[in-house]
Amino acid sequence: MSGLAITTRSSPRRHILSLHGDLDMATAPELREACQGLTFTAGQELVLDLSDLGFCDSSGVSAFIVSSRLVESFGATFAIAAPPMQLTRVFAMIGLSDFFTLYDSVDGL
Amino acid sequence: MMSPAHDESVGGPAEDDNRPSFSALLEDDAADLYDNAPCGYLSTLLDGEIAKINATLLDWLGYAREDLVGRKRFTDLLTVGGRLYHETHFAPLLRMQGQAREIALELVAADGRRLPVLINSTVKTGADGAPLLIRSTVFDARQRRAYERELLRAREAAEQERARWQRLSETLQRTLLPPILPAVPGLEVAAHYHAASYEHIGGDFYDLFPLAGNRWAFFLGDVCGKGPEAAVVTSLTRYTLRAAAVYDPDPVAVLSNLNSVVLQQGHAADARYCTVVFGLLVPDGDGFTLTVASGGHPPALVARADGRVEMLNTPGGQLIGILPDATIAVASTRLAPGESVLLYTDGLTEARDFDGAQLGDEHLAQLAEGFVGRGAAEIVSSLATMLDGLGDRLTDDTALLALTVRAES
Amino acid sequence: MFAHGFGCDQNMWRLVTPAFAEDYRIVLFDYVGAGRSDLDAWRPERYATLGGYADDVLEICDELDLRDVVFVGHSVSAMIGVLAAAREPSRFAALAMVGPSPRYIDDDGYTGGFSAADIDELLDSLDSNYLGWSAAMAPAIMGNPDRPALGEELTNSFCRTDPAIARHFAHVTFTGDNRSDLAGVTVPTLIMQCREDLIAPLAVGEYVHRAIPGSEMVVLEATGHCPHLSAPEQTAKALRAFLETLPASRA
Repeated sequence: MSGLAITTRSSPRRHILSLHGDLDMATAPELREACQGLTFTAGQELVLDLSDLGFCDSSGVSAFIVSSRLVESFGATFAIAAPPMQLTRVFAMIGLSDFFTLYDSVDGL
Repeated sequence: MMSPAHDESVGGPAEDDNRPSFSALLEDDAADLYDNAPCGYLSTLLDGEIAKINATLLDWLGYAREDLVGRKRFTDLLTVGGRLYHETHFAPLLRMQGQAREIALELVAADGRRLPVLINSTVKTGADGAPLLIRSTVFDARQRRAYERELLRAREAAEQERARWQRLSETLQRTLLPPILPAVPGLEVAAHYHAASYEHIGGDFYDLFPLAGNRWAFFLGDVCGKGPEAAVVTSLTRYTLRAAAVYDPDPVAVLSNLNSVVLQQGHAADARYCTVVFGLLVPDGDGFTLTVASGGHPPALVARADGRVEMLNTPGGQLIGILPDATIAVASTRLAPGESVLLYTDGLTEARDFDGAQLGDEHLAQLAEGFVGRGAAEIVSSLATMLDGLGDRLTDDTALLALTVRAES
Repeated sequence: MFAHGFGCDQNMWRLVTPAFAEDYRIVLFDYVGAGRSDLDAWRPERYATLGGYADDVLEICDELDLRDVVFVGHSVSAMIGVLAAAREPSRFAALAMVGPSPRYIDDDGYTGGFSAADIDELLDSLDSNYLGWSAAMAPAIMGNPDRPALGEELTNSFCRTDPAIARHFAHVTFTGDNRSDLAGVTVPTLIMQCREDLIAPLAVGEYVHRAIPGSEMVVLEATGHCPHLSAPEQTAKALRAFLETLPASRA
């Protein structure tokens, strides 16, 4: 069973969480916990870097939604960078293509 | 094997060591070591007759040497159950392999006490390779056995618990699906639920039921996640859809209602959502008018009488239960005699074939070309067979629902 | 066709079968749950009685299109053979039983040699040795420097005996009662009985002999329940002598 590793880079302007591995029912809580472990200030941004994300199921999508709500409750903003093609298709399927701010990559952020 | 000069001189140079303890070791002799070793020694003939036994084991058992040597067999020292085990497992293994290790048995002492032991045995062979006798070492395993009993009890309890949980899961799963689909005049209907595992209750659901005015409604969907929390949402969804359809059968209204209800139920820490297709069938001459509304669910497939396969696309429909004003997309078509519609959950399109590649929407559409001219039952059973064949590669539950308009007879 | 008993697999016959390889077609198999059988094929309902195992024997006969079968059954397999021969008598030329017992538990006027409590004790022994036979212990059991291939093969099959299946088979074997099936045996039958056998004592062998009309009984000068391992030559000799009394059969 493959797991999930999360690495964090923080600056005053944004936190970047890079997800390595699979996001599923077993690992989705780890993403939520990682977000809860951060402190946010208004105007700050949280970016999930998904360039190294493997499998992602509906629990993963749910974790994105929960994370975005948490971040927004602090007046911060939420974005996703480099979503895999499959996830982009899932977002389209479930009508969330315009729901998240999307970046092509975290380069230059 | 028993040479003390060899076995016991590992500690250092023997000649000029003056330590009293070391001298004592040198005076140790093989016979004393054999008799008073901290484990039992036992040698038997091939038929089990006891030929030699050390004092330690005699002491444990409370027998005198003359009680046993030449008089009893090894199996005489065992409990009856132990004898059965010996004859069916231990002895054959020893014969076949020349040795047996860590066999757990109980010896019966002279006074009837039972002594749990672990036994290692080897067959001693002569120069020609023929077996001569069996040598065994016997270790006192009272504490170990007590601990193992605890482990066994814990394992049994865990297994019972697991069986109970599985029964509960299966029962709960059944309550989320209709026991049988109703007979619909003019339609052939079939459904299938493939549970990837009974460890977790899946969140897929479907139903088909009549409405006033000869109309019929059906739905099929997938609640995010698995387990009891998902089952709560599944149950809520199923009953809400049924009630909402009676109140106002317009598919968009039904799913909007569902969205409000699931949204109210949810809480911030747990974004529990579902994707669902709701359909309304209205008789229309020799066929039906089908209106489907979709909340973020994969499109239904329509197999036309002329061989074409269409996706009943509902672009822009949003998942149910997360967004206060979820967009519900709607599509409508007419189903002529011989035409079928197939609804499925993404377990089907996410199923991986032998190469690990997902089946995918495109492949499914290809597969669906084979549906033309076949009825709902055949379509569902061919897909179910394919899913069964995937075995462990199918990691998600999958629900299938197919409807075929009967050709006039 | 050689059928192994409870606790073992087809390897048990390796010292006896060579004596017959030239003149007979030899069929060896593992019962479902034993040896290298497909454990997925095991169903508690199917194997709740020996009849399920007898059906498997008949399926093998059918699949291989066997006729004139001499069924050599060790221990519990002797009764499985009785059931199989009763269901399809035409398949079988003869039954040869090694250490048979139609009932292990004593009953009114019948001595099987065991009480119900003894059988529970066996099940406990199986359980406590299950821990010892765990996968982690397997490497320690493997070694037999002189006959490595044999050691590995046997250990593999022993280790593969799923504890739940072994327990179930033990229960079916040792709590069953096939005494009333014996009278229905119509094929020539040989009973090979060890002089001293804790599992199937001489008296039980004699009971089987009396109950099967026209059966032959040979007492082997061997101790234990597995003469095919401890006295293979004698076992093979007794079997061959019996086979020579039969009309020509070659299966």
